[in-house]
Amino acid sequence: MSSLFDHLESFNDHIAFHQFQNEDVSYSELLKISNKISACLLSRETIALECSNSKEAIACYVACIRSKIVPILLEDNVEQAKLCSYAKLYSTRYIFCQKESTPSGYKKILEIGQFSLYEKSSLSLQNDIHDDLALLITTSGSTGSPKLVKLSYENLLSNTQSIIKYLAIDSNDLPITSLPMNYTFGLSILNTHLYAGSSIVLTNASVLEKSFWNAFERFKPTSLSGVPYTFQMLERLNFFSQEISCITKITQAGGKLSEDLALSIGQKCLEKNIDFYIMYGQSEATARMSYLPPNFLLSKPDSVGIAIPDGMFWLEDDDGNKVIDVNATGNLVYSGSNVSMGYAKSWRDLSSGDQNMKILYTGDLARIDDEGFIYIAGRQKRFIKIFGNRVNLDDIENFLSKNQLISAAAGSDDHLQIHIEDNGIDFEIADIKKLVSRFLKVHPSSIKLNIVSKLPRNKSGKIQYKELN
Amino acid sequence: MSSNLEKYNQVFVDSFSIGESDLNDDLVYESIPEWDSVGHMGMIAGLEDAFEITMEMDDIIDFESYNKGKELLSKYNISF
Repeated sequence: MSSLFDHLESFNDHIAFHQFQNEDVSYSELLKISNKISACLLSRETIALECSNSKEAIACYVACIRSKIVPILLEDNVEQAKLCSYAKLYSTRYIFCQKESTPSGYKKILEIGQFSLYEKSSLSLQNDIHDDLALLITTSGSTGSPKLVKLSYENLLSNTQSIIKYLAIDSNDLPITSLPMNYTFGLSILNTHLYAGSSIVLTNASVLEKSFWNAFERFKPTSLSGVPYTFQMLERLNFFSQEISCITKITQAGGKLSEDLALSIGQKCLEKNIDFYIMYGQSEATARMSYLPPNFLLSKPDSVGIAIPDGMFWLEDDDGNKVIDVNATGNLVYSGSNVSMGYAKSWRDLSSGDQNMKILYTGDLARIDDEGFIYIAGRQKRFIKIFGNRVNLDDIENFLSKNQLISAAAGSDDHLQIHIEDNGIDFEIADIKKLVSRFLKVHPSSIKLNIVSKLPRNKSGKIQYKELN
Repeated sequence: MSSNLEKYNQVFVDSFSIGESDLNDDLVYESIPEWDSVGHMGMIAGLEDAFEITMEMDDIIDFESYNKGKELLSKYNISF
């Protein structure tokens, strides 16, 4: 099976990256950097890769996919301690990062721009990595959980081809990177546009920063992507009243956009002839599982649409029986070649093959209407999304218990609510808020704290979340 | 009736949970964890409420520091 980036040579002198402060990078220049990195790497080893939206990090990613090295994608400016803990857990022979100080036990073998490639030659996993395994991606943004999703070469290729099909992406598309590439949505934007031979405007800035808009004005991107919070910011900035005639496509994923905002943006996009796509997916499905065709946006603004090409959905009840009644709620199940191989918690889990058999129990509750459109109704699993990143509510409770606090974490997307049992320990609410906000790396304003004398529990001591509030 | 500077400072103190002593030349976007994109939007909303103004896109984006903000607010006839 051909891999995702085997054909990049054919794009030759076409521009791969535009950057405001640096020169353009052609596909052949990208491959030159990528080959330089590949030459230092042995295939079927792991590498911890610090991902910024830069030509160096992307070239390293391309090198990994082309030369069959398995990268662990970590965020830009990842703390050294976190980087090293992944390196240790996953026995990575290589580290590619922007750090000044050499990770302990490693030796620098290459320098490219701000990045260095480090090697610890005593480590080798060559016989312990399954042939299908392409990359490892985190499930929840920032808490540093060791659990990673295992994606195969087939996962990447299949999801990339499906997305290209329904978004009609070709070499004339010009996206701007408004999302980080270690985030599955950001990575899918990169994968699809490199595969199609498009040019990409690279920036690490958010839509609130001048450098983002400098790049926007100079290069006039044709597409823009964001999580729900990006669109709240864009609305507040009055983005749709600005001169944005270059934009022809906007995509949204990473959580549910409120119906009001979906309708308001949908209306403006219609007037401006912009195709606005609401999409749904998970890291466990590489990236995308469904999309709402833009012509249904105004009639079904609360739907996440239909399955992507080559994917399919159905509902099951708690006993695993299919739910066939129209509009009945059930557990949402997805099947497609983009369903991941499974999870890993350390390098020992890298030798096993596909454990999911292309079927993903999404953990979401949904209904399906008479035209086959999916409506997400809730979650079975205990997590919420804050600014597009998954936050496991149990992790928060565990974290607080380490700090001598008994708590129940609940709430809805972008609104975390933590109920804390008053156990007589002297804690300032603001301090707890700061503690949690640093742990999750989210702004304190998205966290609400509530001190209760006792948390509601059943006889066996389990917290009764429904009785909170 | 509090002065414009007092109102301005109060919005920063409230939005970023910081003290008056932290309000200086060094207070810029992303210099503290609280002043990220979410904090920025909250602070702008706070200023708009306090001064009863609606800020333009360019000004929201140019608002890169505590000091720069004072300069930008002069466009809305708020002087310090």
